[in-house]
Amino acid sequence: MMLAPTGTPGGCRAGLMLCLLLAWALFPAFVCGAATPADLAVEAQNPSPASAIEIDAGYRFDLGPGAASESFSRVSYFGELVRSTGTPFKYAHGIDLLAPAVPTGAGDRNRLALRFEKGTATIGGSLLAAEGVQPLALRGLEKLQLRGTAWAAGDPENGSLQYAVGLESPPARIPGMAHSQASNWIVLGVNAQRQESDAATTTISGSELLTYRSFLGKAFGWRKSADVGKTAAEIAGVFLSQAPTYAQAQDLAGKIESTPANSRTQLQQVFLDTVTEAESEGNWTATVRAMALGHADAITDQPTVSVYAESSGWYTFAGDPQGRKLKNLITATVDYWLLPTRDDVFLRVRYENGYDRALPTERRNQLLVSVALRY
Amino acid sequence: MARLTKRERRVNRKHVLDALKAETGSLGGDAAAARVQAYVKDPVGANTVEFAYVGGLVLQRFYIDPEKPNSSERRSLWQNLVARLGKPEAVDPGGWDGTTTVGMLQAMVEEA
Repeated sequence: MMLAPTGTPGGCRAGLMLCLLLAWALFPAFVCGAATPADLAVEAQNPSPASAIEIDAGYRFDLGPGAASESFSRVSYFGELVRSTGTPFKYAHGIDLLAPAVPTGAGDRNRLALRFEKGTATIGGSLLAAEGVQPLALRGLEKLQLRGTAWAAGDPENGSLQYAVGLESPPARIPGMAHSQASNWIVLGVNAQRQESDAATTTISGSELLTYRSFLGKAFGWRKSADVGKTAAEIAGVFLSQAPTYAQAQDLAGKIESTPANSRTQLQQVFLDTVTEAESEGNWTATVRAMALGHADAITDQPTVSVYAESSGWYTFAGDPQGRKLKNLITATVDYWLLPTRDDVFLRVRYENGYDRALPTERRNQLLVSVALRY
Repeated sequence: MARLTKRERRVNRKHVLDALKAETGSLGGDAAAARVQAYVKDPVGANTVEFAYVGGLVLQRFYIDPEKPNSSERRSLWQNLVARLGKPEAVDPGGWDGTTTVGMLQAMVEEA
């Protein structure tokens, strides 16, 4: 067990809670682990098509001098329960291709919540989030493809607020990594920032910053989380049962298209792709089977371990730097999917060292060990 | 909006994969890299299984971190996409993240 024991009664309670959470999380996985190959096809999912509940629970080892370690947990709920609505792959029986996707709040979830939750503010992956990025065509500098950025952050504990506007480069490859198979990028920027701090006295200050953020990561140990052939047969069966002919498929596609693209399920979009790809009645059945096979092959790919590091920082070249002129935050994370047929349960070990731009006077030096669940 | 042709959709999928490569430097991980590379070289001639395979790749495979793409990375990717598809004024409808597939993102850009 990687979760650390704690010496205090409160710590013991927290540790017990984490163990219970872990047991609760792993129970269905063990049940699925005893399932037949046919069941595994139904379980195929990568990642979970819609996560209605997300749980992170773990322990934070604070490595700074005199700092206290503590457990943390976060439970987030998004939209309706998945089970009641029926999402593709996870509960593949009875899929209705006309049923709308479950609203999950995808895209913008977590960002603000993470900032304001006690004990969990440090496990988010969003560093130096630059809101409102827009392309800017500056005369003579068009080839640089610069983007305008706007950023804001607040700390409710001391009532401080920071906001900044600036320019940012498009992502470039990290030197020496251009031809590697690893994901990698670096973004450079320049910002003008204002700080309103201390709610009691409301002091306002300004500063100019050079910023950077970079990322390097790679997934290893790719394997299949389910039987590709059986998963493909499941998908093809759904398509052909609800649209046995090309004419019926076109009719069904017309109805699906009335749902905006960002609200469709994966299967609905694959169905639309299949209709365009088939082009005629004679190709319909063969195209359905080929599309189902390709899609099943993609969604059953599952890494065993992901290793990634992120660094972001800023250099204050004018104004009050609130300490050192150059500050940065480095994080290194290992995610481990420990169960062969579940991609929604993973262990995470994460090390963080440095300063978050939203909290520029508080240095972090900590190790986090957690179990993450995505249902 | 008129439905796009098979050829147009295949070429647009290549643009999405190219944009992801430009943003992340990745071809979707070791398990997918060779197939993505082959598709991008000849999107029109690729067989249907490959068209579906590259369309089924989720963005998380390119961004690695389950919390990514974050808001700035999504906006950067969107700018890259609309530039490649010749729709610079297209507005991001939102509602997508690392669990979104290449095919779903392609449809959002085509529809925007």
